[in-house]
Amino acid sequence: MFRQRGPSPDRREVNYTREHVAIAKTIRRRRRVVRWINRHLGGIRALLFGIGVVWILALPLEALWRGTYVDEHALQPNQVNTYWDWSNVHRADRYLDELEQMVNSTQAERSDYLQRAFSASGHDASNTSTSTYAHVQPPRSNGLEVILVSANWMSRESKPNLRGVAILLALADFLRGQNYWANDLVLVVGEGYLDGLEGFMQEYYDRFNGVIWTALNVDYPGHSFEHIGLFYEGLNGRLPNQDVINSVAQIARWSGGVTTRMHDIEEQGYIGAARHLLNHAAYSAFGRASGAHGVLAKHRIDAITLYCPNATGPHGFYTLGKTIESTLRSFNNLLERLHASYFFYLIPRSGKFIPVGHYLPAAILLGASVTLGGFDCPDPVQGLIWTTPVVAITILGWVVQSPLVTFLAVAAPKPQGTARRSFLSLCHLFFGALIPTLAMVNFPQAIALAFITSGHLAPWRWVRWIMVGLNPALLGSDLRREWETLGNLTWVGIMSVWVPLGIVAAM
Amino acid sequence: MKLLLYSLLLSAVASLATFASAQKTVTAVHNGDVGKHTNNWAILVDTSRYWFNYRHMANTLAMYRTIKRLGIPDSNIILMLADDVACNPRNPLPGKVYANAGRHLDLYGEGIEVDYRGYEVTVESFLRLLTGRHPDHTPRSKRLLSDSSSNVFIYMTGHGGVEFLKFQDNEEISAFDVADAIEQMSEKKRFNKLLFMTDTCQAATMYSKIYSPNVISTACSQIGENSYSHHNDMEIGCAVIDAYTHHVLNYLETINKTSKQTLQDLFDDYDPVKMLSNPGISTELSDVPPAEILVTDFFGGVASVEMTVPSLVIEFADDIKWPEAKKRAPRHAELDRTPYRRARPSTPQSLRPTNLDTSIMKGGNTSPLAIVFPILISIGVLTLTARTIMSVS
Amino acid sequence: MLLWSSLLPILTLVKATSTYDESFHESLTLHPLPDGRLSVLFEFTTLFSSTSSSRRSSTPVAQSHHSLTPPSLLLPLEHNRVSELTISFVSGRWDQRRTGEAGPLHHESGGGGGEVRGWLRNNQNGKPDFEAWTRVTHALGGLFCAGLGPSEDGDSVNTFGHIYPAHVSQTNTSHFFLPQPTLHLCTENLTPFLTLLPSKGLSGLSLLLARPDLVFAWGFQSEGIEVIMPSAESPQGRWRGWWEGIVDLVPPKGGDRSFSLNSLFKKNVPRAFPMADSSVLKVILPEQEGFRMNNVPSKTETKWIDGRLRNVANWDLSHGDMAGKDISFWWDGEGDFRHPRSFTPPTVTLFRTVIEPFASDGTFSILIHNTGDETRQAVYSEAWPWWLQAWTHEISIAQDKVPSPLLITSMFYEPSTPPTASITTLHLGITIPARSTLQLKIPFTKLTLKYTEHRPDAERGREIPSGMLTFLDLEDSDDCQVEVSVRKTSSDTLNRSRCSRREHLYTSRRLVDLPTPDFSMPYNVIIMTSTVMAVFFGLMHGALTRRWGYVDIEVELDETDGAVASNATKHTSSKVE
Repeated sequence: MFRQRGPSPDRREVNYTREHVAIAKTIRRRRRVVRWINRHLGGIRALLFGIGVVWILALPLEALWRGTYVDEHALQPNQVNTYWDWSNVHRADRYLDELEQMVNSTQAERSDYLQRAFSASGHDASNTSTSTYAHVQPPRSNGLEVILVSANWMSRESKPNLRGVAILLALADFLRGQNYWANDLVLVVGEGYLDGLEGFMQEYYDRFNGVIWTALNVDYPGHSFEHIGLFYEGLNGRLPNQDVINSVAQIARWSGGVTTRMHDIEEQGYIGAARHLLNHAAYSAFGRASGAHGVLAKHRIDAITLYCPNATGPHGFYTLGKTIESTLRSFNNLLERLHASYFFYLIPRSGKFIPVGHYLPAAILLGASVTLGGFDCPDPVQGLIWTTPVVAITILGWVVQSPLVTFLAVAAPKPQGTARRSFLSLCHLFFGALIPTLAMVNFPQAIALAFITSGHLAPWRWVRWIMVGLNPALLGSDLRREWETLGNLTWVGIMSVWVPLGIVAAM
Repeated sequence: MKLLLYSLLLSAVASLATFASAQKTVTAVHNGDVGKHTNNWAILVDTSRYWFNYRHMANTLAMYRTIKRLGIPDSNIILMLADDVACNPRNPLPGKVYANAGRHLDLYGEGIEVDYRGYEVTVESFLRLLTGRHPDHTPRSKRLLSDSSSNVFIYMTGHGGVEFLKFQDNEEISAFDVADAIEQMSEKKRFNKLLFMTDTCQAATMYSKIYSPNVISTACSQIGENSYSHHNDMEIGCAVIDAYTHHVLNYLETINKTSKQTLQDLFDDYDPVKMLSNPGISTELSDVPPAEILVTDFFGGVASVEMTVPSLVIEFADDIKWPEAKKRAPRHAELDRTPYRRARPSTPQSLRPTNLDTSIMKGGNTSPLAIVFPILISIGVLTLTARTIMSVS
Repeated sequence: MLLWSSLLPILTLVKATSTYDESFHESLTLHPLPDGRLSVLFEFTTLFSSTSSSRRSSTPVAQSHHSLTPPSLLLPLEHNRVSELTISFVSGRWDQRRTGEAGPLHHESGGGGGEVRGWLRNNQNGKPDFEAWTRVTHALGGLFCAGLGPSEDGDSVNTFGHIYPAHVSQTNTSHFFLPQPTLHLCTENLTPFLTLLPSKGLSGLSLLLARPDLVFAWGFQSEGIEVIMPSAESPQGRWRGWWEGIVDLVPPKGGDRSFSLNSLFKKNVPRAFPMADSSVLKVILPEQEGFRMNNVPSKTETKWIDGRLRNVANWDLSHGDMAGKDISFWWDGEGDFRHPRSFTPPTVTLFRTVIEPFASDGTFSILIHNTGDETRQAVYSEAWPWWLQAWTHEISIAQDKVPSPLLITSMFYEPSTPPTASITTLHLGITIPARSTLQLKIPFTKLTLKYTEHRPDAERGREIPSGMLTFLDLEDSDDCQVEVSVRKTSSDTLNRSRCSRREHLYTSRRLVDLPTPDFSMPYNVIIMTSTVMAVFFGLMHGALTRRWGYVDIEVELDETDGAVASNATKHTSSKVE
């Protein structure tokens, strides 16, 4: 194995051994390929971008889907008898009558009524500044684990969630005296749509010693319903463990006798699936929660919202009560946090899902198409120096909390020549790396970021100017308010990624 | 060269012959040791935890109740339950475990002794139990104090696979470990006969590696087959018994302490249709066929008593001070009942020196491979030598 | 001592007729609670003198006589030179607010889960005898079908001696304490408990207890034994077993809360156990008016229970004339029970939780609420597993949200020695001012566990034992011995929180999430290691066997820079394999 050191070869000689010729051919071929790629880089980038777009358009096709199943054996959905009966429905109706008198009451009055109702059922009740809650303590439970059930005062239809609160009160009455719960239950009525529950969670740790693993949110504004809509997006695009959705769907179907839909949309075929995915993207891309359950996501609680849209249909308190009771019994069976099923998925239709491996390549391809534009960097130092005005304007934008600072970049000095090429390539590399990173955590937001990035860094000036014109300030100030109250990171993302992109495009 | 060839051939033939004859001597040595058992031990292991594995604990507890009914006392039963379902807060019938939805018999009852509970049920503790290698402070109730005249019944249930059994969803015991542990028991003379019963998926693979004599094994399913639960109880919310154990227990319900049914009757009662799988039976390691072994030899605590002398004379010493009777004489017979553990069994075999002579020969089943291998090796050697001879010339 | 001379009243009852000085006393205490529930406590006390009769007989063979005492319990204790031992199992949790009581009826119950603590005599070198402690805990663990030995969280700790002082002061003993928060109760713990009693669950009050289907439906179950072995200084030994639970008196669908012995235990008053020297049914009468019973008690006395003056009705069941009868209790004029909206909490309440819970750290927040008029002195103690490390320099205490560091008068901290399993102990001497709420904050961080140290249910988290508050200023003064006649009008509350025998208050246990690794990791690690090894091997092999040389490559026509192609060969050095 030791090399034989001979005399150094004469550099002016031509060498003809077969080995040399073979190697020379290899090196030549390699160089040709690289040169070809470099010549056609624009085309390759466009091709990757095109494939990425086609992949996204192919997501509503059934070939990429898989059937859902309940993975955690402990849940055992539908394996237990339910005891919710018409006497509980009657109590819910009575509570509903009393709540209907309180539609125009103040928060203090409502809270007082709810606390009295919960106490009359035999539970501890109290309130925080934004919510009222009851702590159900079953006799044999340790208090170490807690299941949360919430019904906020405002429904997603901006009407009072009267029947949701009524069924919560009836549930409190129903749970008393039951001896087979291993978890405590906390029943929360939060003010507003999301803010009440968020305020409750901020004070939860001071008041309770138990750990919450799963939760349910009930939204029932109308009279009767014929199907239940399930909403699962959480804040910042964080999704609950898929077992929660799958078990609730199965339980509603077999124990409750009612079908469920995702997002309350049910349509068949490609268009229906595309609508589901767009609906999901409309929430996740902005980091918004699709129901009050979403504010629980950052506390590592797997939760969904059961929404009962108004219909003349046959179901009411009885069905919903059985569904909720059977779901809570399944959650009660859990001895560990949910960890078996998927945390990253897209749902194009009830009963089907798209696993990570089937949708992530789209984002990777889009990210790659941006990253490939960053390999031509003749002078990195110069490029770095030119990022300073970008960073400065971004920080200024954060201080004044407005994305309009992008337009300041029009007056900024512009790099030329190799400095410009280096600067742009560094930008391509940086923003191209962000897209796949974000895709794992929040796929719709990553796709949106990919399109925004590709637009801002496009080679054609007119595209760039249009993108600068579509300033994020057009989105309004809701996102900023959500960042301050709920912790929605989209605002931070806009100020730290979109604004710099606009600056780069304007330079 | 030809000499070399012939000598190799001769050595191959000679090794085969000695091997074959060795088999015969093994069986001859073990033939004398047949069938004197004076006590029974049982090890019942449930290896899976969590509420939804209620049926595994019900399996084990039903087996526990059956062997208690047939006479094995708590002191001779090692019960290992990896979780607690009777007093689990999720159990709507607290303190009770049922093996059927009709709830005929409460398996937990009022007197029960669980020796290994919860996190103590591990592969290590199971193997230590079988081999008797405990730290000094292990209490008696956690030790297998069997001797050379004990019939030991091992029952294991849980989730398993090909040649392994899962303990608590976290670790696995392999069929080789079980076989080696049983061999250690055999060498230390910790059992007279052993019945190894498993109820898991692909259970027959668990006993496929056992190589010690006097072991009968049976399992609920073959390789590639799962073990199915029998039925659910909708009040409790889980499946309550497995099909195989349900069937075996139905049969054992017809047995009482005086029954003369044999293990062959138990095996004949197996019904693959009802059990939803093909049960496995392995009796090759046992010299005594199952038709000559009573079911109560393993499942019951029946022992025969021999009178060695026709009568006994007891003499009292003169200076014994008998305690004075208490002022209030006990009126009830129950007070005479001593609840304490049975008197000490004989010295555990683990403390006696092992007799190594007979243990070197690993008798039992000679798999066909043991005969084919030497043949193959000798053929290979022969062809190699032939080739080298050819190439050299 | 803080013993309250509890031995004195019992000793007066002992009849000195039996040769072995043994006597057995049993009692059942019922205490109706304000939220429609009932606290039930069985206590079985056996007094005995030394069981070994070496001083009596002349033979050199050691003899041990047991008539009412169980040898399976006492022999291991004697052989291992145990002076006192307490084992307690608690399943469930105690709600201080709704019950109005700071803890269960039997004050020696520990925090949640299982707990073993005791005083053992030192070995020959005068050092704590760890081997004896191991033997005792394993032997009793085998007896009670509960794993009482050292756990994965740590071995025993020796710093709780002043928290649990010895009832009989001895020299040359050391204290051992081992909390096991994961233990829970089931029939296999009840069966040996009953067999240890002389009545075996077959007659007397233990007959009511021998129903596991009823007992394990109770909330907050607690079982325990406490043994004080006789010694040269105090020849009277005592072992006491207790079983406690909470029964919900209101039916599931609502109703009234009247109850009777039959409705509780499915049996009437059982026949008396003949060997019992006393057999008493006590009912602690509620402070509100309206409580009635259908049988006149033998005796009603007034006692200080937990800082409040209460009336206790006693029925003497040892005569046998009560056997077979049922005693019922009800509230006059109360129909269906209506749960009260507010409750009077006990004078001092304790609550522990974890605020700011992150993946790798958090902060314990302990709230101590004192509604009384007196300043209290107490010690707050914690015992943590080795993987929980507190930042002790950041411990802070605030009174009504105002930081008051002077309220912590002393601190004793014994850290664990990770990664060996060991327990950290922390004792803080605290002054609790009158009518105040204290918040004690202890920040902590969680260490990383090895892959193999995780439990089978690793995603659940791990339980931390309860924290406990021990009062140092309980009273035994004349003020606390009040005759019934001295009691003033009902408007005088006579609430002296220090006239209590309850030394310890416990928080509930806590489930702490531990960051778990990816348990499919071994497979992935093997694959990755194999890949890395293969690639590394390939590189190394290539580097070692590669030859370097010069290769001519012709320049192509369309190379970059647009330079005119020259046929001059460019000498380029390249790797040659």
